[in-house]
Amino acid sequence: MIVAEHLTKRYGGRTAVDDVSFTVEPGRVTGFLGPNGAGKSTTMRMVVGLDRPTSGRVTVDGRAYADSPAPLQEVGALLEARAVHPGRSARSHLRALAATHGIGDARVDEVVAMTGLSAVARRRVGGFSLGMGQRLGIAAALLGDPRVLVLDEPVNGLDPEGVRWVRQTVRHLADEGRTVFISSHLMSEMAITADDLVVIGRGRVVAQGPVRDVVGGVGGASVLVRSPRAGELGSLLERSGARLERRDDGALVVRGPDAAAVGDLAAGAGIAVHELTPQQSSLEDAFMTLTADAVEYATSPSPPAGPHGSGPRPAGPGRPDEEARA
Amino acid sequence: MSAATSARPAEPRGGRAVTFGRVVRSERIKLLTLRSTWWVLALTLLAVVAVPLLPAALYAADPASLAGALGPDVGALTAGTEVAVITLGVLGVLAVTNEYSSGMVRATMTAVPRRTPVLLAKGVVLAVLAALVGVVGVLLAWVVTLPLYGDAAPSLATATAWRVVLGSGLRLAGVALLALAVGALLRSAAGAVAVVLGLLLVLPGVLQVAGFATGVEAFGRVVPFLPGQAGAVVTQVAPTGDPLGPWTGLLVMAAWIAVLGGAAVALLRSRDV
Repeated sequence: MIVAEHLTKRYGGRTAVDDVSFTVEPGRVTGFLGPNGAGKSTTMRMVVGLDRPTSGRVTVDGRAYADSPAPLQEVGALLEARAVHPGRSARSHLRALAATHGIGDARVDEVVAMTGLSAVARRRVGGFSLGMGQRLGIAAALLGDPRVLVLDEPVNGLDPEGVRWVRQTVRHLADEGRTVFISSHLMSEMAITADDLVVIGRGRVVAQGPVRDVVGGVGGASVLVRSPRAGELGSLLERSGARLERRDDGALVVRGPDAAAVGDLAAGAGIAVHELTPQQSSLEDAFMTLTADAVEYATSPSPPAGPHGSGPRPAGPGRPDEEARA
Repeated sequence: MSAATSARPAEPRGGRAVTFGRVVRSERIKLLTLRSTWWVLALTLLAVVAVPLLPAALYAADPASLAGALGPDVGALTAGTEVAVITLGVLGVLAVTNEYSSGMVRATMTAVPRRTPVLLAKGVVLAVLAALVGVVGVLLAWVVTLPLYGDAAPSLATATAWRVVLGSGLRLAGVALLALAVGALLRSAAGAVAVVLGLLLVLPGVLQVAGFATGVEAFGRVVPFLPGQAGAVVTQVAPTGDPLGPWTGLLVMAAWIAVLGGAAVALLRSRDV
């Protein structure tokens, strides 16, 4: 279990992590989700003591990571793909790390095999692809058979097969009762992999909890309704306690009752319904909503233009031709 | 949570704790699994063995010449260690700065989050290697120059000779440690190599010149206490005019290492990796 309490990290005047508190439970995969530059890596570096918090603290199974007599058996960390000297072979790299804990060569060869690196283990790491480097990082994280795994963007640079392997590995590790804390800026990845989420933006936790709750808390399920008597149906729904959003095209977005309840209500009042579509807000929507104010490098202050170029265009500098065409 | 922690075995799943001996072993693996280390060590050994051949050859050609008159003594056998000062200085710097340039340091400090043992272990491994290369190299130099010096070959059967031979190893170990400390302080190879070689090779000359130019004697008086000068006394057969003897010289060098190393440890503990 990882417990962060009011974790804050400032570099000079810049606050990278701002009063962050969360708990990562054992037996579950907890996704650490946020845009690039949100403070994910800094937080993870503080978990394993590479960065000292400016204030607050983070503990692993009840104590600071550095206080563990056998840190690699406590936490396996993949922090950056290339935390490896390029002139050393993969096996030598792992042997050197293993030696600090008296972990034998048998275990080194075991994690090499687990991560599919056997064929290249004696080659120098400098020639490794990004994906192979990532596998080596994961092999290093697994060396001490740790009860907690901290993986920073583990699928970065992996091919589809590698991505699937990471997902399965992470699931398997969590099913064994281990604590798995895995960061990503890809919502789709977290939607597949994670049980719980900690969403971070600009150094602050903007949401946390089980994936369904985080998604639900942002808007949750809704029902899209079209009716020739939308106005009547709308007031009827509002009287029944539903929350309503009237779209420009006349459709209603109903929150509260499910599709069946909306249909029954309309039928009861004899109102024809032309469309009745349950809508599940995706993790992606939730993520966008949650971090909308917290993206450090926003690319565009406005939504993308519609098919007819009717939407407002971003007033990007140095693109007068774009502006003119729009 | 604390109950669960205390109920857990101290060394879970057959695992073992981090000990200083294990960190030393790890650092030994790290240093010796890089090709560059072997290149530097081979080059160093070659220099320590080969450089004394020059005065020996001159002596063999004409014992009465000025160059020939330098030998034969044990001091002539340590001439190559001056080259080793440069190569081992670079090795000492790289042993720590390559961790930062490659990112390896993050893996290292995650495995040993107390950090200090890592730097100390690097020091142990480097010091042993440098001392070995120094002592073995000087002994080999004695062997290869034997045919050139013939009957006049210096004897190793005196206390002074052994002081010079062992002292050469200790001095080179000191150079490597000094370089390690500077590398750990600056974290950048280029800067650290410049500082180390500047401190050992350039600064003494600069101070001498400054002394002559300004007439301020203090400049010149400082020179023997610089780490390069102080550490070199032990390699001389008959230390001349120095305020420091062989062993006090080594102590002064050790003090430099202690101060710079202490600063390096303090910064290592306080800085983010």
